[in-house]
Amino acid sequence: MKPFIERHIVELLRAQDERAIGLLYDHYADALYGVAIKVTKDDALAQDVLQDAFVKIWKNAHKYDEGKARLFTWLFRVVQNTAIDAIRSRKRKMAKEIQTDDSNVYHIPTTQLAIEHLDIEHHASGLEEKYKVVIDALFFQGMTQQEASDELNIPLGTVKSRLKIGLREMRKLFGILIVLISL
Amino acid sequence: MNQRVTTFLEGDLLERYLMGTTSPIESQEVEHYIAKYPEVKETYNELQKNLEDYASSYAVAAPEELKTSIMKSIKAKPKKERIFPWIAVVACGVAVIFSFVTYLFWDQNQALMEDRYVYNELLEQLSDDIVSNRESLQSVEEQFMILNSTETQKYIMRGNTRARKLEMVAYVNELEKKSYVNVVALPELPDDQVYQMWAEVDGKLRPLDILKMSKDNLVEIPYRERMASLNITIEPKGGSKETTEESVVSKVSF
Repeated sequence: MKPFIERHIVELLRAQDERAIGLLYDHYADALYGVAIKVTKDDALAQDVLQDAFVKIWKNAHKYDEGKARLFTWLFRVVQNTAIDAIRSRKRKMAKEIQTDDSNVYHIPTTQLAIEHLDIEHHASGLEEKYKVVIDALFFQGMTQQEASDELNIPLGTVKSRLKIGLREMRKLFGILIVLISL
Repeated sequence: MNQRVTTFLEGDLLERYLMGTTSPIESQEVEHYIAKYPEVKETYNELQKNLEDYASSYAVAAPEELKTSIMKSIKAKPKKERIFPWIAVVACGVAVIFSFVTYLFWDQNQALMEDRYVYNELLEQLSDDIVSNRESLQSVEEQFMILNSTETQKYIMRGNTRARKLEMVAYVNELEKKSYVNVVALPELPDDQVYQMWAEVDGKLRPLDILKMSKDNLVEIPYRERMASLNITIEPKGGSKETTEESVVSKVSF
């Protein structure tokens, strides 16, 4: 991102200047909305999540520590957590409305999610599917590594190595993209 | 590269820290490595950049009306802040009432402590009085026992022409070796003179006590062995060690 814009936004946030939220929305909303959709798989819910997340960002601006994370990393975590909470809340609500003995009714395996929700075409030339599935489960489904291991039915060690390699591959991939764009 | 850094980077702590899934202790450890080792910091920065790039690759145009709605939401927030001072005022009020009640209890406690001190003093005085009264009673009982004894002799002493109004009763118990006097009347003397009692022993007058009108009717006087008589003389103030028969104003022989 543009470091100057990032610094300017952080200063405005600290000063509780509302223009900070306008600038945040202009520069980050699309990426964050994409994250919210990836997690919730529901456009309407994703919009609610984005609204709640921006209010949280506004209220907790003082908690942001530039020394610990880039602005986007912090924004991503707020949106990711808000989205995961929204899904859990909706599941609890639905579970109350429809009582059933089958506890797996609302359980959507990540392997299915990968097929239905991953933007395969968009990233076809990019990361290998096996890495993407792991990264998506950890980044967008809010799973722990153990949960991802159980869900994807792969050993915990493999989850860890695929996460590391996937991120490293991503580094190469985006590096190439940046070079191509700059040509 | 440092072996510790290599081991750290081979693990998954940094990746989990990036995703915000580390425990507070793990986060501290990661932050320590980031601050201390530039290669860890560099890797962390790359991971953050990757996360941003990866997430951005899924970007979807966010609705413009959502921005308007968010801006309205955050503008509505200050209203909540207006409520806060009321909570603070109520909290202050409660604190003041609590302080006042605490002060009242403290004050009451102080008063009770003072009362307790006074009552303790009183109790101590009463206790002393009881001891003193017991001693007095014991003394009176002892005197009563001696006076009632068949061994006790009673002698009435009257003054001669130099002390006409002098009247006194003497009690002597040779068995118990005790003697008492009861001064009934004692004529007044000039300020520089006193009445003194003497015991006649082996033909000589031995000094006993100075006589006074006492509120205690019965006064014990020193007992002398082989006492042949009791004598009262008029002596200079302070009493004398020796006297003569001429100074005697009252006498009783046993």
